[in-house]
Amino acid sequence: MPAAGGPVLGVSADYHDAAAALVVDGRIVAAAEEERFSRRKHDPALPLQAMRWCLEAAGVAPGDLAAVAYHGKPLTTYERVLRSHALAGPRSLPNLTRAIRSWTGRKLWVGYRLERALRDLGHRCPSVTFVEHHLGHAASAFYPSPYDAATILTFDGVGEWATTSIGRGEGAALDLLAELAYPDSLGLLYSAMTAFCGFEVNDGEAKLMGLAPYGSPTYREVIGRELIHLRPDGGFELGRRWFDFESGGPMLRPGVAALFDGPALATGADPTTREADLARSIQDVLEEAVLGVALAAHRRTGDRRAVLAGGVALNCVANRALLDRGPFDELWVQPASSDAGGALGSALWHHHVVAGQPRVLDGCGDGMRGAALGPAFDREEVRAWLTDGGVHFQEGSVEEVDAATVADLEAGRIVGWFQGAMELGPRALGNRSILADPRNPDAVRRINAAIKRREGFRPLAPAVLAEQAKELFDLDQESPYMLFTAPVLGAEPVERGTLASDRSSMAELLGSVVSPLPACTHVDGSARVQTVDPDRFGRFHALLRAFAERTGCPALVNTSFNRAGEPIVRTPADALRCAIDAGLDAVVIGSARIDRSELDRLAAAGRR
Amino acid sequence: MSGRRYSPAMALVARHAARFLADQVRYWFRTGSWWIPVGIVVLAIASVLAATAQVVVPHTVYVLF
Repeated sequence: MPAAGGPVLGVSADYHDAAAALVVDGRIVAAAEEERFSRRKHDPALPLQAMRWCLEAAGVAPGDLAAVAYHGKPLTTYERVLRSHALAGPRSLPNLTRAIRSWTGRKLWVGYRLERALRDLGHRCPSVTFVEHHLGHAASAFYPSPYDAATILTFDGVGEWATTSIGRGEGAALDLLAELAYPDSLGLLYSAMTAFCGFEVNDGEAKLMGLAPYGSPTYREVIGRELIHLRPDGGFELGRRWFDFESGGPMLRPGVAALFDGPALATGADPTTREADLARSIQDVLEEAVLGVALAAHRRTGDRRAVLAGGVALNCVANRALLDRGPFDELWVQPASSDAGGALGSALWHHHVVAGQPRVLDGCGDGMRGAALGPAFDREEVRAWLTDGGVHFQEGSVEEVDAATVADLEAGRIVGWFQGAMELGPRALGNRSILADPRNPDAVRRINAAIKRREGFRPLAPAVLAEQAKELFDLDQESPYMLFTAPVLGAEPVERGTLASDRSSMAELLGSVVSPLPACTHVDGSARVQTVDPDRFGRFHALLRAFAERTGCPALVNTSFNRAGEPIVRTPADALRCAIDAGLDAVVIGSARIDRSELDRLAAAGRR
Repeated sequence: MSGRRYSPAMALVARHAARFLADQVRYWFRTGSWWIPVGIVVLAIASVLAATAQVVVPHTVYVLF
């Protein structure tokens, strides 16, 4: 019989960003999103491949699994779906029939599906614990944080009923103190505006955030008056007459066209000044709402520190606003704040609360290990794979590889960088990254247009040596997971009057910002910073150090190693395929460097 | 004479079906609301019928599902 404190498998599935995580003795030993295996972005399917990998990577023998924790309570969620559709009346019927089919055919039986899947993998499945959705998020924020006690804030679209919750963690104890219920949801409000501005829900929210600095808060007042009412006690209510979450169509009713000077932008169409203004307005409202909740939480707990999770916590601009204007001195944000993080939160909650195991802080950083919790490939595996595939590569020591990469970057080349374990969460943090020289203003245009083939208005992010971060950014606390923005010192924000009227001119503006780091400075003079320390990001820190010694610049552009619409690469094969398709100048996989001529040769030979 | 033997797969299905029904009863007692668990069970049975015994399922079920 497995011991208390034995391996706990956490699983999140059936909504978006399905993932599995394995916790042993309170340590997260493995975690990965299913999308990285299936190559389907935001894959919601039961994460069979991620589960298999977690169990194998941690060496869990059949019969050793102590518990399985599922992120969410399906029956309560189904109750919410049925009740809300029943209240919505006949217009919700088509969507209700789809929902019933999905729930009765699949989602309700997740316990059965998990047990069968584990049995197919050769494991005995202990009973499945269903962890409340926001409790899973709260646990993912608090238990891996470096704090012994903290206020917990979670914001997302909706879990079972909760959309926002306030909690407190101390030691191994975690309690949710208050919550707001569906349909009053900041996540749904932001997603509704995301869709209205022509972006995909659950994918385009980061794009809306990136669009905001191009706009003015023209619609802030109307959003604050009609779409959401912020209460003095920190709560909020959505203006229900403008929303329709049950029909399965647009979340904002057609009548909002009168508020926003016209109908919704078609999905995929180029955003204009109006969308930029809407993005800016909703961003301001979101920040105000988050601050209100934070102040309410602080009044209850009096804590100096807070931790955040839930999809809205990926809004690094709001996180910075909370840091600057909120009641807390320190913030820690779960890097996998979306539902993927719920898998590890649920496993940690089971370990500490159900199994009653103590929480031990080691006093050196957080428990996320730089979010490098996914599959890794050692030097021999990479060498064998490349050799077997007939790929010509140069191999060298760490110093030699770093020197060659620094030379590439200094010469303006754009390099794919594949090292160590894959990161959990939407950000590449130096293990599955595309890198460029941040002093090169052309890098942002080339990466957006030719390499990642994504919207030209989207900014790139810098990774900076933690010990030199204050030389380049106005940032008082670390930002290891790229979850806070910071003003770039010496950057000149673009005057609002000169902001663009269409997407192409937005792209031109982006690369022409006057800044010491023009390739990764947004038009408002800010950047989404990753501070890179040697403890969590040893290999990446060494490269940044080599770049700084050679050029005097302690930062690099760090964007995720993927192309628009694709998940971040997982394997060397994914990396090579992406490098060929994207037209990268070089790719470094472990200690093997593959240059542009070889990538061109492979492309000509049809190796994709 | 040997009794009929059930496969582990059938036992798994039966166990989860029993747990599902127990969950509905628990929900009923916890909330005092009967229509949600009854509705969920009816819809689940209808789904199973729609998927496995199409001939005997009334036309309305096809429309609904």
